[in-house]
Amino acid sequence: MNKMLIDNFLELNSFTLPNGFKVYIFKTDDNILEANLFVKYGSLNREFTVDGKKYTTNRGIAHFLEHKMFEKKDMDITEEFSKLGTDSNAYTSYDETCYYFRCNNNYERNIELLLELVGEPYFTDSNVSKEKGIIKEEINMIESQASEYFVRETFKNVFYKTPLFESIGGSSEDIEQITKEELELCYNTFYVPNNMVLIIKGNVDENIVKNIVENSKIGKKESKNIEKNKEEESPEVRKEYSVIYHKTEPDVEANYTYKISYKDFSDLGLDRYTIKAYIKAFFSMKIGYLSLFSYNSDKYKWSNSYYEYVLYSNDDYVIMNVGIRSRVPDKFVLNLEKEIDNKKIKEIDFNRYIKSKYIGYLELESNKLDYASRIIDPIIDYGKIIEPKTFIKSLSFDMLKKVVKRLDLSNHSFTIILPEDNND
Amino acid sequence: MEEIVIKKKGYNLHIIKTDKFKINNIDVCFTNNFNKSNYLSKLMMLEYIKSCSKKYSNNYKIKLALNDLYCAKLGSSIENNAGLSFTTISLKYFRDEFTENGNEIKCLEFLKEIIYNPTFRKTKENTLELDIIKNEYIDECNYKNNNVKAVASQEFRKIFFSDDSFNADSLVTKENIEKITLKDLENAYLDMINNDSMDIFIIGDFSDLILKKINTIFENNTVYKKYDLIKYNHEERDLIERINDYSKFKQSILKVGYKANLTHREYRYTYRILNYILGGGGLDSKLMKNVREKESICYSIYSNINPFYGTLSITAGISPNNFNKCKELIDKELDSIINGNFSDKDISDAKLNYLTVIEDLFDRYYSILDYYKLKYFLDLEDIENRKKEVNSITKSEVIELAKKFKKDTILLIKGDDSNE
Repeated sequence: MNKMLIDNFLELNSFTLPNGFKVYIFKTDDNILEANLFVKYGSLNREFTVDGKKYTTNRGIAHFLEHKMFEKKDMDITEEFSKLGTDSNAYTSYDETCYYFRCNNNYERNIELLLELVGEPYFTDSNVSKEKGIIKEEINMIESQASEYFVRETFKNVFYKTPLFESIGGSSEDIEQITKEELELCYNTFYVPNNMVLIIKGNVDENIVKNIVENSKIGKKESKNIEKNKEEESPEVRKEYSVIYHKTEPDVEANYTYKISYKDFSDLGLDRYTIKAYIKAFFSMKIGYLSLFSYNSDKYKWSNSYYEYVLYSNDDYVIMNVGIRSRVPDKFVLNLEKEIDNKKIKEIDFNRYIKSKYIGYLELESNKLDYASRIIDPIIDYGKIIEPKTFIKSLSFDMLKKVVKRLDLSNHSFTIILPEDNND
Repeated sequence: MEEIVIKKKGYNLHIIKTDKFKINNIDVCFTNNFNKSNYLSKLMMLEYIKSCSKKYSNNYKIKLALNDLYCAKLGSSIENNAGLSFTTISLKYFRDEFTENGNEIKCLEFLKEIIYNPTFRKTKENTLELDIIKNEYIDECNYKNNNVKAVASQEFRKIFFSDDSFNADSLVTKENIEKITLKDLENAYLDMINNDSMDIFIIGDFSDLILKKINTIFENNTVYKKYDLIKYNHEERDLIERINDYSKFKQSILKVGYKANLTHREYRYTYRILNYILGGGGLDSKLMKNVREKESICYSIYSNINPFYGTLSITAGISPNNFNKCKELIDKELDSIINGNFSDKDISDAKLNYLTVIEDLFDRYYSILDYYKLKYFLDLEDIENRKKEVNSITKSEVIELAKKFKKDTILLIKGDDSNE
């Protein structure tokens, strides 16, 4: 059992079973216990190789599998959680599927149920067919939202090879193609212990957890090599400008998206998580909440609102996006480019940024559960345990200047969405 | 964690003392009867007074001032319930021990500036601040008009409720927003300051010096009145069924509403149990299991209750061709509760879920504040009594309550079904 004290107050215990299953336990003093079981399998992993044989699976299969995992042969797992007063659910993203629960009693039994949930599937032709109706309605719900469509179209402009423009859930036609056999193949390939991470936040004995995990189906499974096939992505964006149309978007909305390669910073000796933190700091200082640009955007009505954020990141790229609601997006972007391209930064802005981040973590310290939540993403995405307060204080203005100097902002894409009736 | 209430001449000070958090929070709450005529201006006034004041001429200066106060956070909200309007202005800040000596006093001075020193003069800067707020509200309206769930809720409330206090959101339209002037904001402000009752809820670790400072800020408030909750009487009427076409949406939403004429106290906790079993219990509810899982005709289906208004509503995302089938299945599920087709286990699961939710209340400062505010304003029981009440609920009470609901409204927001 590995032990560490995060930021001098939050105890973290972790262990890895011989089969590669990783477990992290944040010891909190709350009434509530939360657990997340991540399977590193998402909508992007459609192509993979097993025993030398290449497979290309249907779109939406990871999400379909997530739905089907709740069905068991001998038990109603939702009802079992419910009996304990526990809320449980799951979601699928581009790179992972996550099953989770939140409870305030019977911690051990809830953890057993979570492991049971992913431990063994139960697929029949009829239960697979029945699920299709439910998923199609979910797809309809998602497709109704212009924002979903817009994000996919933005990705289409940014990436050549990474299929982020495909819907996580697939289309109704994709869903129709999915079979019991295909689900079995994907389950057997990806739901293996060395491709899963369990994270628990709560007041629970780590040795009891270890015992539960070791005796679960996942704990007893053998590890397996996984070959996720991925094509080399170009550092350039596919399209620099495009206008698209949707039924439910009356106002102009726009995304201005920067494709930033980690390779550009390789001489700095920083890991990807730290590079990303500096990039975020730069954008926040230039156009964030406390910037003069933000005030001017309101004052001169360049936009009604906008926000800058990391839209996506993987091993190679950070996709920084500025989402804009504006009646004059061209005007906004003209000023945005001027502000961002002028890489001049001030130490006072950097200190303000660090202060606001640090204060945010200081407040979270009162609730260990919330604090631990901030540490999950870097564990899953980078296999790195971050001490948030220590980390934010370790960022320096000098290093930020070096990062900014290397920041190549020439790969950007401007995507505008308009109401369909503008498309004459 | 105990609440101490100190009655001052013009306000009540509710002190919740705890050092569990590093922050202190002050909620200044204004209460009055809901007033349709000034709802929108009050809403925008709250945003406006957070954006500028006599000392801080624009929002940028306010943001920088808050950053200097160790990232203190200014908030506001308006909630309408039981015929009353609850307006809150809040400030959350770090105590001196985690920042520097004097930070708390500076934060209170800042709050005083925001509440008592707004400026409504027709200057270029003030007009600009109002314009920015108008833009944000109009943007929000556009967003809502393009969200099928928001449209369904809005349209449903218009039919389901004849009283405007349930429908306050329908007053927030682009046309109404554009008409608002600085004078309207000033009138709304003066109305709030002069006529609303004031309760101040503070949570954290407050020294005598700070309590004295709070009193100095608010001592000029001299009128206090506790407002009574207003019972809403539903008029008897025939079932209304409507289909509204919205071809711009791909999905259709079905909403079914039921009403019961009950007092606030009747079945207050039984509502929660009924709702959990019927459709509030996530994946394990009757609607989820029998309509979604068995029939596969929807992805989302859930129920909502409001014990203060005696209402129950069910929402389902469906394809239009499943409209009649879904209606029938919803009827069947409510009937099955009326006929007692649910187990003791269903009741015990629902009770356990409720008890889990209330256990969670004391981990975060804002949920503790909400607990004390609701207890005071809406006359709710304390935790121990709530637990007792919930634990004593029987199956026959759930059946009794279900029987009291009369189906009142069916609405289908009909999306584009051309792909079916």
